[in-house]
Amino acid sequence: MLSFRYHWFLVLLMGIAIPLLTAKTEKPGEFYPFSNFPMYSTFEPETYYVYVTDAADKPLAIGTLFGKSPSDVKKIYDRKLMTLKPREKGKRKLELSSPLKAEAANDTLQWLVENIAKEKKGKLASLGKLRLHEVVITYSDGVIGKSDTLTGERALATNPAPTL
Amino acid sequence: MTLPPIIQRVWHFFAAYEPMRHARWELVLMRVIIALLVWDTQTGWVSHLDDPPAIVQAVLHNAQTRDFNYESQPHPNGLGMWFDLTWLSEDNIEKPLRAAVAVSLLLYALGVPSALSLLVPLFFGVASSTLANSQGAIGHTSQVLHLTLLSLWLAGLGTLWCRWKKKPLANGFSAGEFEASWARQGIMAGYVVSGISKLLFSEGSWLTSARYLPLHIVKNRDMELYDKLDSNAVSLEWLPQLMMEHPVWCIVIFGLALPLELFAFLGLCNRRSAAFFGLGLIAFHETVTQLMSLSFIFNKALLLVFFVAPWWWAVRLFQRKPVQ
Repeated sequence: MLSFRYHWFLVLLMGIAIPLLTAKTEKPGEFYPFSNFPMYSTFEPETYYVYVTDAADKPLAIGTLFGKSPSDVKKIYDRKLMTLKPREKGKRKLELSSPLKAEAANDTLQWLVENIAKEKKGKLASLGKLRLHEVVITYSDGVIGKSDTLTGERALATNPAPTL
Repeated sequence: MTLPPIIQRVWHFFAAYEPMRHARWELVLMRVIIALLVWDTQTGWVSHLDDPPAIVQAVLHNAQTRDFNYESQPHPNGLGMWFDLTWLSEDNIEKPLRAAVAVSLLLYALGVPSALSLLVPLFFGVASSTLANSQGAIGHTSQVLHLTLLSLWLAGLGTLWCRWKKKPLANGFSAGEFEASWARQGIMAGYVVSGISKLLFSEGSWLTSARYLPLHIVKNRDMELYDKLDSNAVSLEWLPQLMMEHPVWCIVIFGLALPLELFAFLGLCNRRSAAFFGLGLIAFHETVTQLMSLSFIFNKALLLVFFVAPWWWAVRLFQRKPVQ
């Protein structure tokens, strides 16, 4: 087993060296294609996701419209919340106040707009607004429950009228 | 001290080191599958598995319309911490590079040494994924594939080095066997590290916290719904509630995964242990796929090719003498 030197080299690299060298970066342990990421390392008794709606609050197909996965959108929102968390010390991310969540939501929607594929930018303008909803999933009194909150919205620039 | 015969047999089954030999046809099959998997990262053909004409359409045409749209890297990751990789989004660079990837993969499948044929696919794959991961969200879908590609390329370089120095490869391996061995070592390193991280990050409570898995099933299925607004994503809505009421199911299902990951290195020892750990990990991934709509397609395909290798067992079954 000790003869698998390349294997153990990678275990040391991904398990110890990279986590130490990237300890002060935004994502410790991540240096593509090396990662110490454990899929589902913790199953917390409360989890959440986000989804996006238009001005009429109609849900949008994130993958089809933006070319991004809902999980990527959640990761961006989550990262914004983590950045804002020190402003309200002692609170967990999901307990942050509405203004802070609105800031995170607006930044996330801004990211979506900035990273949409070129050919889909035209369709975006017709939506009027983008809204971000946060859905928290919990288990209490023997039942799985969901609570849906509109956390932020962003107006979309309409195409300027043609000059006559 | 002599161990009881049953222990000796179990130890021999799992841990006796028997270098894995590959017939030429098996190495060709591996190369073709690897080339197709890497091409999926540029075309997404795997998502059409139930529609053969769409697969052909995707393999031949999707790369032409694929377009990176990253104008900055606000959260640099990996090589992005040292280099600005946004130039990969420029059409006059991106499109010729993607065409070069296609030609390189074709040459790889035809048997051109990996050190040459995998250089462009490896660079483009790692650099473009690094750029995508530098936008703020880290994705791991292709990570195992690119780690395997890196392992194959490094083994290819090692082969050239040994030839230049007129040294034999370890265990009397051929170049293809040496590359397959390093690919296996790379894949299993990912699982061992994942197992260790699970224990460290959860401070040992990983198994007991698995009872909350159903909440994450609800989350993933809802996110699948909002991906394409396909209501089929939220079928079996009763299942998470039932699992919450019977937490032992979750603990058993996920409990088996931890030793499979921690001891995944045993799957490097011989064909038997490779098949055992390969099948076990595929079963784990498939459970997660069914419950949470997470595909793990590259993990499953690589485990099938490099560890389970059903074609090798089928040939062995129908031949009188062992195929090695």
